[in-house]
Amino acid sequence: MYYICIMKSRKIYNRIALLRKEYSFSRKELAEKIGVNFQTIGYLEREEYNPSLDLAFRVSETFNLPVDVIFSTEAFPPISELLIQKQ
Amino acid sequence: MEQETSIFKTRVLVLINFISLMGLALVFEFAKKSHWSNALLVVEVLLILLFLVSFVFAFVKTGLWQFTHKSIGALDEREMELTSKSLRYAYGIFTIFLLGMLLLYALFSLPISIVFVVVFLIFAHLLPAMVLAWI
Repeated sequence: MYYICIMKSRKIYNRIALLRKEYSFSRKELAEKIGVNFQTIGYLEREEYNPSLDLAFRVSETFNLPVDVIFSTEAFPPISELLIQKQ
Repeated sequence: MEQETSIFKTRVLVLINFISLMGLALVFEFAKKSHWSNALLVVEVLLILLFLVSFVFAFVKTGLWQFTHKSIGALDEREMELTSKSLRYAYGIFTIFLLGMLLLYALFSLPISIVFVVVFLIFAHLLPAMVLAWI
């Protein structure tokens, strides 16, 4: 008997849009740095596309941050919420 | 909103292109069976023009044609995934569509003309780009 295991991929949340603005990169500039089409940056920012592990590492290397700071399987809290918590 | 309108426009243009392509074959088959009148000739020429114009607007200007004709090395991982998905759907759709058409031809004992073959070759070539407008 054969068992077929179907793994449903989870949505991956990210902070790419926020970091890109912080680093003042245009979508085209960031796309050139990580080696993808600029439209793919839009898809990543809108969380409509889950990046591969390789692409996730390339993004983290570009921003000099650990992967888990940029990508998460849970939605990131808004910055305003984090600032209030810090106060 | 603007993006949705653009997607809708592309889909309409792709449908017009598909209808004109199929219309081309149907009018040809009909004319061949009955008689080539001037009216049918005008309709056929108009369909060819409609097909060419809609091809430019639906595939060339939107970049769909370029997308499906890029070399694999020029595609990033998302584009590769999208291309593979469109090819998978296109293969399935084409097989079912062609089998249906061949069945109809067999049922009505119609001879397969060269125009039918050419239309289906063009359709097979355009289908992955057509599918891209929907996925």
